[in-house]
Amino acid sequence: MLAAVLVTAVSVLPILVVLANALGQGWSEAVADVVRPRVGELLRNTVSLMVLATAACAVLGVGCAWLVERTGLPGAGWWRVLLVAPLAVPAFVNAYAWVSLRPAMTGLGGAVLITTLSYFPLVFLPVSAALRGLDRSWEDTARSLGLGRWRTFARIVLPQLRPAVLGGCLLVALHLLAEFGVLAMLRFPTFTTAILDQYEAAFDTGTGSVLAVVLVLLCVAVLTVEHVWRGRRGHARIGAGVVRRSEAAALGRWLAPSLLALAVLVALALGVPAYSLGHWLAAPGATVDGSGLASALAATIGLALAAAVLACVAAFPVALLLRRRQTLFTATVERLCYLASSLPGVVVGLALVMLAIRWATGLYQSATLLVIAYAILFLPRALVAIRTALDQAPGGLIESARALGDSPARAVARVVVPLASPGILTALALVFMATTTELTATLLLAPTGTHTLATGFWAASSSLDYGAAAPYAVAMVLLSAPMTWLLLRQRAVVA
Amino acid sequence: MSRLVVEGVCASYGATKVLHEVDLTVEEGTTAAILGASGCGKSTLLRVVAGFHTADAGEVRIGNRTVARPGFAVPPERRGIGYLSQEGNLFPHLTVAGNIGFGLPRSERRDRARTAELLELVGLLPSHADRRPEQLSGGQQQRVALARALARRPELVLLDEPFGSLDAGLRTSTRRAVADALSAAGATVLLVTHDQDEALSFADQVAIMRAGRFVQVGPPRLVYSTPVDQATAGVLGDLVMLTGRGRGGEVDTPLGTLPLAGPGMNGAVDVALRPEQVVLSDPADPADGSVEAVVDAVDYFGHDALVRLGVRARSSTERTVVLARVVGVDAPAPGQVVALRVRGQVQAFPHTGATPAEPA
Repeated sequence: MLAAVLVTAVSVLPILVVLANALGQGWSEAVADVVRPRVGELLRNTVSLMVLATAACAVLGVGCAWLVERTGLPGAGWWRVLLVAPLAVPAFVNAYAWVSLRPAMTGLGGAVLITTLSYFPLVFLPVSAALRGLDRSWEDTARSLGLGRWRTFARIVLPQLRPAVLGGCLLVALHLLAEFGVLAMLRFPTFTTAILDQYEAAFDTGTGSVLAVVLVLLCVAVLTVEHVWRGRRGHARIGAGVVRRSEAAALGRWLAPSLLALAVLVALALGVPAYSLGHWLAAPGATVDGSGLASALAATIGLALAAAVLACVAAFPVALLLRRRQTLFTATVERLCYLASSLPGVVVGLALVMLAIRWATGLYQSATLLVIAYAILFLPRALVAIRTALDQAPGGLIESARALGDSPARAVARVVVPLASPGILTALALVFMATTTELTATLLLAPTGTHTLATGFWAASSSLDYGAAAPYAVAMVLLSAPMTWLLLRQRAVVA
Repeated sequence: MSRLVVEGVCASYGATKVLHEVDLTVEEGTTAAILGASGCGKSTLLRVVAGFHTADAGEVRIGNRTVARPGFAVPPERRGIGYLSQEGNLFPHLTVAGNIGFGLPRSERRDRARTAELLELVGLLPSHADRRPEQLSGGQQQRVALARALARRPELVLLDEPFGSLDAGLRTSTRRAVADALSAAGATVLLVTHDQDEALSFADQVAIMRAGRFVQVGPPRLVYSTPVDQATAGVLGDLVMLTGRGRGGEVDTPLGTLPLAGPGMNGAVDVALRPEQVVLSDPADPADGSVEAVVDAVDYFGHDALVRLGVRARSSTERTVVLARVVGVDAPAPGQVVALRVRGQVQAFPHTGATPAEPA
């Protein structure tokens, strides 16, 4: 309980620091920082990108999920993998792939295209899982009550998909608010890129904090919209019996166009990065800095392992607490943990920089601080995976162990840990892979002289040395490729 | 083996009071069943005794040891109880033998002979020891869960709807096996159930719970034959309800004048009797005190049948509906005219004014 509260408090710390810093420079200055034409432009850019790309992801995600799960598409299993795989390509690598081939691709259009291609799997994955899990008997009942095929879809299937679609869209929107690499590369300024510019150019944490507060408010707005639209009611299956899976609706003459559309999508989302990386690796005169790459790889793996262990250790007591009967207290802990991690990496990074400068100079530019930032950012991934894992050991089993003479701690060790260990490994792997491709917080917090794969890639591609950037990108893709498989298995995604 | 004493226990979930000053004593080596509808608080009482839920007030003693009183609670693992839940909760990562040995000291866990003995106790073969829980049927899982609970020779065994998740055929055989194992072990047993057959057949003492209070506690026969009120009577089985007029130790009803159980009553009363007290015979050769009745409908169950009859008293136009339980081979056909008489004593309650509900 105490441990869970501590973890929650640390998670919430960045918000408080940024808020205190923004207000610390005086109210009138803070207002002056916000009410500027520049902020208006950032707001317009951020919101229009978020709305357009989220809508595009929703359409693509639901459409693909429907085709793959409900139409008897040839090779559905393969398509499922191919449509989740773009998540293994970091968005900024995707942007690099496009921009290095077509330098003219900048601005809103390019940003929407690239972020959509990178993030639509976040909608596809939960919706396809929901479609697969739907109980056919509800649809049968609707048909028996006189509804036709399409009205059944509209009145029975769509409402059940709503939580999955909304959940996916929420993730996309939060990713877009946090996105730095793609937008910096495309020279499309949003709050996140502006905060980093402000910090790097002027070391101005005051204005940066004010912008960060606006960004946090946008996150809260997105979370609120999703919460309101989702509504309070859940869909529970009542009664016993086996869940029956739906039969496929044959595509008929739509089969060829559907296959073509999916092929084009996969070509754009996976083919372009693959081609581009291949192109730059094979480019004449491309020299791979072997020792630089090796040290970046070693640094990345070390940091990612530390972050994975820390995030999982921190998530465990929270997950145990959330298993209890829901009270106001547990609900608050849950909300705060998820809220803190919907913060963009730039906000967490900035907050920890300010904290370290003021109160813990020893930690400033240390690997420890960076690992803490990763753990805060990716705590929910660990939390979701560990909660799923703990569901393998329901409370009744612990009670049985207690009745058989085990103390609470012994019961956890003898029953919960053996049953939950695969899920705990999944949690470790998810945080590990997320860390290997984290760019924004790493740029802010990495100790001087330490290059990770992401910052090494970023340094090279920022100086337009595309050939030198390619090996770093390939290494990141390879490290995060197993994520595709894990996500397909886990079927729950978090920001 | 120890006596269980529950005194003045109150318990709640959040702001909802679930148990109100509950008292119960289960004598050493006997079995008590708590019978009640779902949500009446019976499982909560079991969880308080087990130590999974903390009471707001009152005391629980197992043997001569107080395990719970205000501000003090022995954790479940040190209460010396055996606990069997509806799901059985076998540990899915362990074999049958691993489950049975779970609560034993490390040195005894690998004792194959002890495992075999326990399996035999619950009516399973020693060859089941190496199976995994998912390879067992629901009834076998419950038996293993019981063997696991008995392995530690608990002073008190707590059963929380242990047969509720089993289908009807399996339920009877599993119940028999569990009852045999428990009596062989000589344990003190507290069973919670909503199934009246289970409570009546399983226990030495039945406690009827309603809205967090015991309304009647006693031996099954006594509770069944002399329930304290109509609702309690209904919980224990099918009822025939009549209106009548008490005259001391007897009562005048549309089925004739019947002897009363318990103290005499005068004036308007509601009369309750069990369908098996209603005896049908050939109208051509009626027994003494018979009335004539017409068969309305028959629910035929094979071994027996529940017959719904209409009786029209000579003096009135009112028709009284009566249920009779007869042996299956004697079931009459609908429309048939029969002679009907009541055997044994009937139960009377003060008239509520409301027309008695027609028994289901």
